[in-house]
Amino acid sequence: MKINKLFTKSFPYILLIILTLPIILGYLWIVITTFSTRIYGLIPVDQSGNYFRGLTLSNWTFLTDKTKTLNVSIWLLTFNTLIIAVGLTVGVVLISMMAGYALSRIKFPGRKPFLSLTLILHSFPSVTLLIAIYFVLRWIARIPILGRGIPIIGGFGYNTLGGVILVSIALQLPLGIWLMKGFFDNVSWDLERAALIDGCSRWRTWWQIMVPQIMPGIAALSIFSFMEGWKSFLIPYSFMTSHARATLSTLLNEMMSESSPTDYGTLAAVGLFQLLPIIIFYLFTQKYLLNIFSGGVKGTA
Amino acid sequence: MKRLTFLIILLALPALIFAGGQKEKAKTTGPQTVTITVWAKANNVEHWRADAAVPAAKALNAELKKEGKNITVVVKPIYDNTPWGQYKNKFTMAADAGEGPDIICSGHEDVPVWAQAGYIIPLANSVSQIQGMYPEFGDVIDSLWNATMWHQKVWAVPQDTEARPMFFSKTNLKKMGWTDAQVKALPEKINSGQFTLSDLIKTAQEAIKKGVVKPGFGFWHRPKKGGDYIQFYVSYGGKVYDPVKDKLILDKNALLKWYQFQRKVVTTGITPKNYIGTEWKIWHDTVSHNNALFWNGGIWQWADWKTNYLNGDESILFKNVGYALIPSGIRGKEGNTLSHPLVYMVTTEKASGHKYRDLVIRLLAFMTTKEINTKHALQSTHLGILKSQMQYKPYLDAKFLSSVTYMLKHNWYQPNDSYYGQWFDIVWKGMTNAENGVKTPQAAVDLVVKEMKIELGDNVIIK
Amino acid sequence: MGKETEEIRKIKPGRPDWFWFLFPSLLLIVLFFFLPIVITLIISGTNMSSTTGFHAWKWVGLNNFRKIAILPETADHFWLTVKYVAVTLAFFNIGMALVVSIITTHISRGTGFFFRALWLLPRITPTVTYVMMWKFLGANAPYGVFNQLIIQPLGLAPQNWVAASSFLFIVLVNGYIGASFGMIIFTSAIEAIPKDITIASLVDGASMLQRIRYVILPYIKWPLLFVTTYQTLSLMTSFEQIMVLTDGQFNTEVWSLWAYHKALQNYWGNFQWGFGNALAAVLVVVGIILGIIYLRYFKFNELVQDPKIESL
Repeated sequence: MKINKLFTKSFPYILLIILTLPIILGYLWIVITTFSTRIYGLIPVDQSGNYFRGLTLSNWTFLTDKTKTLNVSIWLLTFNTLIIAVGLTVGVVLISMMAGYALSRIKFPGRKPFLSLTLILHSFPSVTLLIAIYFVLRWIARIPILGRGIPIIGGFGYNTLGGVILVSIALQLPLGIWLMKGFFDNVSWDLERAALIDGCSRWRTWWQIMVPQIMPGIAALSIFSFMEGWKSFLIPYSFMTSHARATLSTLLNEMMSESSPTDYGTLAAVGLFQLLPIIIFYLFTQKYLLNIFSGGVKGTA
Repeated sequence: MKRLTFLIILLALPALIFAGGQKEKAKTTGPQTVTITVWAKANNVEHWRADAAVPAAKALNAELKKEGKNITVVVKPIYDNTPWGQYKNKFTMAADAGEGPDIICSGHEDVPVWAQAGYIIPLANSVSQIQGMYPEFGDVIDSLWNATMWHQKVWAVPQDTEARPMFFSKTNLKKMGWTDAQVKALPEKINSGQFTLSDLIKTAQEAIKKGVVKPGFGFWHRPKKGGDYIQFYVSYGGKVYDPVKDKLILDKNALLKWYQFQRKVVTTGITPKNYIGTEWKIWHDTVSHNNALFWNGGIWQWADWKTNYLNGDESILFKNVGYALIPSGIRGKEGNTLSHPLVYMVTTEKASGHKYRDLVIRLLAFMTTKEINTKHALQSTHLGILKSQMQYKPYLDAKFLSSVTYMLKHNWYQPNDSYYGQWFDIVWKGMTNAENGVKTPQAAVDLVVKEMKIELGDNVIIK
Repeated sequence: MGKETEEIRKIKPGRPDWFWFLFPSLLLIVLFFFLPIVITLIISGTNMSSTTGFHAWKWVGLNNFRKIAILPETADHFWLTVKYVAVTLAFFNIGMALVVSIITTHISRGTGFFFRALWLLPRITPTVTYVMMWKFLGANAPYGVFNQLIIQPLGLAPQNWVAASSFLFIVLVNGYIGASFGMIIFTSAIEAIPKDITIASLVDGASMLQRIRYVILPYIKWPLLFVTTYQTLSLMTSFEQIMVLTDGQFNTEVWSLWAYHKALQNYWGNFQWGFGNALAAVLVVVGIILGIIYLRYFKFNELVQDPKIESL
């Protein structure tokens, strides 16, 4: 009876550990690899294959050297990645807040079609549109100033950081709009009504009354967008040609390249380097992040 | 294109503003600076593919000054280590947007594709014309120009070339009881067709039986997609291209024998099951540490093994590793090897957004010197491309390179045909099906033939 | 009530605020969804490829679609995609997500949080790093972790598991990312179940399985449907992980990867934009149809009730 009870009690834990095992082993492998010359399974080995030897810090030299594959500094790439992540976050949050508010609070013709549209676009095969998006970016590049005359982000056309940010924002928008709408839906009507009767404009009501009410939602969307921007690969890779504008993910991809000396120790180290800030960030913000998915389906759940 | 643009403009009002566009302002007087961008796909030991432009620009500027011209050339060498497909994709998009580099270093098979698309310019109307253009071009080994030709024009300048040998472990062969003389004679026997692919299978099986190598480690072919595999098709007498009709060829008989070979290496246990797709790291680690008997790769991997796997100790490689042509599948027929020269192409004004094409070509000449090219050849263990290198001491001193140069006498190139990519993809898929046992070799061949007819139609001759 | 509305209307006479609120989103959606969809459809009717460039192409009508219909490999890609979506969805994005969220909400809070955090790692890890990890988990001896820790101690023959069980691995790699989406949603839904109901079931002496069947599942019906539909579409079109893991070898080339390979990424750089876009267009159409069906099925109108202020 006692054993039986112990079993029922520990069973969930055992099951959970077994199911989670690949994740645990995988990340363990990444960490060990970054400190080893060679590795067999989870055991570091040295050049001649002796077990538990060959621990090294040499995989981390990319932090100070110019990286071996790209002839630019890792910190420049980190900076570029940061710009994309921040640009994407600010853009998505601001634009989704505006649209989400209108969709939640204002009645206008075409509201329902617009909402169903965002729901469909929510999970649209956007990657399949890469070539077509390339054309669009090329046309934007031809607009004077806007196209390619803006400092830091370069502009919004093809081969600029701004262009990459713009495309990423667009692809993220349906989720953002839908989410923001969900949060606005939950804000009390009286609050807004009072403000409007007091003579506030829609814009002031939006910015001063409504936006502060959905801070948890904004936090969630910001964190989510930042993470997406930080790890994005396909779009920066496809639409930026210059190396000075590469990102950490593009660097990783280059290091994975076939038929070239692939230094997996360094590769894992760069991967960990890119992952660490996100993990730290995540640990501090996870309770907000959880809102992102629950917010969207709340009320109807 | 116009129709497309028209439609799009109709659909997108914002696009209406987009008229105009940037035009390069050409200065005609005063001192000028010309920026020339070079793209190359290269890793850390191949960076001279792009960096060759730096010393070349220095020499060119000195020359220009001597001529009293008020032009300074500034170069931007960029090397990129992404997979080939992505590299080419990136170039295509950049070139079409008018943001391409001035010089692009890529495989010679891109010549017909990019020439047809209007991204690159022809450099000369004949080999003799380009040889007379600059002494440096005259120095390029004659046969290499063949790889740069398309529709009777020269479209590119060779950058490097290589051979793709069959490597073997000398020490492991000796453990099996081979004498020094037998091991030493192996390359010659392969060369003359006395040691064939079926002998390779037998030898590898014996090695496993005797416990010299572990099961599955008798023959490790290239683990991932690549032109190397077509060498075995050629070994069985297959032809890829008919130069007279300017069409691709698919030889069903050779294809079947090749697929049977790829299946047999697995069924005889000399190659592991489900081997294709093995990580490069695992492959390099295995072969460089003498754990396999036969493996086929490229000579550039030698530099990789030495630098990245053996702490720079080349003597270990010379002690353990031997190399020869790819054995023939038919007794008495000589071995072969694939060379895949990389070439420099000059982009059009439209693709690069820059003028001064003649200056770019001139820079290319300065990049094609024995000094610069030898640096690249030594660092990356690629073969030189210049006649003068064959008497150039630093090049001759490179023991490995000089010992594989003979292979170029038996080499072949992939065709400059714009459908080759599709041809290759279909044949490759058939091969993986056959080797992994998903289909019998015969069924794989039948499927290849069927797909080839649908995808390429009249552009391929099926025999 | 009606009076109040009138008052508001007077303050804000017919100025289309909503337009300006929506303008940035509209612009971006037009630029990066509508236009690209139209362009994709247009290109799918041409022979555009690297060889023709973006200028010298010709109209080929429905030829690309005809080619899709007669190619022998089409059926393989199609059925693989169906199988892949169905299996991943059932076992991971729904099944695993449900199991993990139920267990982690029924153990101590701290432990539950810890495991959920672990399960979120794959989602926030850059793809290349994440997939590399799986490659070396399944790699052949002596490199692979599974071979070292599980297969060899059991006395079985080690092999390259990624290649040997390629389908399992594409499911695992995507499943471990996909499960976290459902996990989060289910977790918050389960936690939202009123405490008295949970306690009542405990008092009744219901077993865990009964509790799941009669208490939890009915309560999370809507999130379940939401996750199912949402993840079906995203599984159907995602290929980045498969591309990095096997690049479509060992019969893992799902439809979207096939399109990507044809149009943007193949070994010798012969891009067939026309044909690739035709493949993409098929996905676009399927996506739109599924989307519309879901909207119907989910009683979408209940979800988007009219704003209350104007209709008070």
